[in-house]
Amino acid sequence: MTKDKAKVKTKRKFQFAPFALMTPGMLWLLLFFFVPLVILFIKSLSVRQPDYTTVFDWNWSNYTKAFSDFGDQFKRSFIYSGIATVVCLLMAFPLAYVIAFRGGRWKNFYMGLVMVPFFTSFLIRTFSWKTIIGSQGPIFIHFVGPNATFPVLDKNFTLIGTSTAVIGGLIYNFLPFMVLPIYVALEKIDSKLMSAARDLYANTFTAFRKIILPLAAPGVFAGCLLVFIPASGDFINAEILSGSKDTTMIGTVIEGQFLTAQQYPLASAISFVFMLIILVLFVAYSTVFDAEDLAG
Amino acid sequence: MSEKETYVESTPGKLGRWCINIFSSFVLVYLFVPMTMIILFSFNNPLSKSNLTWKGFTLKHWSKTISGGEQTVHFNPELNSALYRSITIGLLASFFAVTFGFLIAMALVKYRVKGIGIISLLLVLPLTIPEIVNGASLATLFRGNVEMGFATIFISHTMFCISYIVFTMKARLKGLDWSIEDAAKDLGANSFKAFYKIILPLAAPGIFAAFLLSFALSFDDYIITNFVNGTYNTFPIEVYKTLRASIPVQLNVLSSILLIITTACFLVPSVLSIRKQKKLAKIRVNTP
Repeated sequence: MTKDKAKVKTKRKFQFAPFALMTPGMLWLLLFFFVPLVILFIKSLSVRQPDYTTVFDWNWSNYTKAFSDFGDQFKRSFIYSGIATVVCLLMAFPLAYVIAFRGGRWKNFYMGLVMVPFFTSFLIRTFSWKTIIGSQGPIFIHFVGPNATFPVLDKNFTLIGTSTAVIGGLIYNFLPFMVLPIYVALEKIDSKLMSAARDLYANTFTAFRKIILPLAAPGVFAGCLLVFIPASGDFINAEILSGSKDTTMIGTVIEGQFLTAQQYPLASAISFVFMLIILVLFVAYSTVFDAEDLAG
Repeated sequence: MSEKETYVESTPGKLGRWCINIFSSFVLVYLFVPMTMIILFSFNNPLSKSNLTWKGFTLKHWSKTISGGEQTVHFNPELNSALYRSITIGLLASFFAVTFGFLIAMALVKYRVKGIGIISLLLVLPLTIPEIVNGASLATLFRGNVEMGFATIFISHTMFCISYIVFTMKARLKGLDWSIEDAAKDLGANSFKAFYKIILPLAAPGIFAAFLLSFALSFDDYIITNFVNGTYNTFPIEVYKTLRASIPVQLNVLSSILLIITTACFLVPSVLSIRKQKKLAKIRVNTP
């Protein structure tokens, strides 16, 4: 009650303090996040001149080109990151569940274990997978070629360059982003709720479905976003674990068009399309799953 | 935990419980597979320029990486200096991002702000836009206008850390008892003193966690940095460049060192808190 009253009071007069507090950070975001996006949009409608400068010209052909030339890479990015998200969810949920409900005093320690590998370099980790799953690596050296211990695989067999390798890399690199939010959601659940459900004759499965799942939903929601969005824009895994044209993701295309080919208008158009697709998916997804809890 | 144990479990229930436990252990082990490889191969003595197959134990790459010196096949002094560069940028960007993010989070938690919709949107958007788009857009802003290097990397890193910090700090600050601040003011502290003496110490663990998160984000960023770095190579950029030509053992050594430091940062506090909890439990038992 008293809290509500206080809020009503503060609402009446204009307050200078919150704006003063927010100004530096919001200004930074406005200048270096929002303004660049506007510039990106203007670039995407420009024409590149022979001297690599760009002139604004309502040139929508960049957009049609983005779809017609790179439709496959767009599709591939979303399929790869979709699969990676689902697998991450399947792996992360049991782990987060066990840590949250059976971890006891060691909860923080286990979560530390989950986080630790991800504070070493992303690139070195990915590269390490390349050596592990390589045909001369510690696993496949026993199976590949006629001289191996178990010569079950052809000597030309390699996982490197396949979509399996790329998706595997995405799964490994983004797994903790799934574990963390699910763990945070599960950890808040009062274990008495489960006892209550059992007192009311719910079996384990029903109790799980009616109590744990709905309460874990915000964590699952956040986790899926935290995996899907960066995974779809990632190009490191595709470059290191494959490099093949058949596994190119949209990130590689944007990087290549921008930094190597210097086709700034086209690269901007692809980026913009990619961003819009993600935003549409995000809005649709949050409408379906009712994302009130996301913002906290 | 003990509360659940009182229930008599059916055999399939127990079996299911064990299956989940074993599966989770596998996931945890899986997370450490590349780490084990990296550490193991930091002691390798490869004959070629690529550290791919095991050729025998040696400590020479560790001593070389730490002591520095001339460039060799497995040691590139540029990598070590890139590491320092990344640490500098990480610390500086995190300091600014945490300051900005903390102030925003405080404004959002303490006050009812007008135009909260727009503000929330501007804060959520950076989290929903893929890094590669951020990188490309920042490059369009900087290219041709300023020389890219330390400053542009710092600006970009601070930018993409702010949103993460606002959301983690907001969750923390919501849990604070703000009436203590009012109490301090009633006792004659001015706003600044109340903040400095009360709010800041209470928020310190959250600030520390946010700082770590921000540092990790900045330290490991390749995608955005790649667009704005100019000729200033941060650690990930230098690593990528190196990996295209060879696989020096130095990389394994540096990663192992990073792993040891982060393990100390993460696991030691949690082990200490476990011991503290045990002690507290003992005291509670002993007091009548």
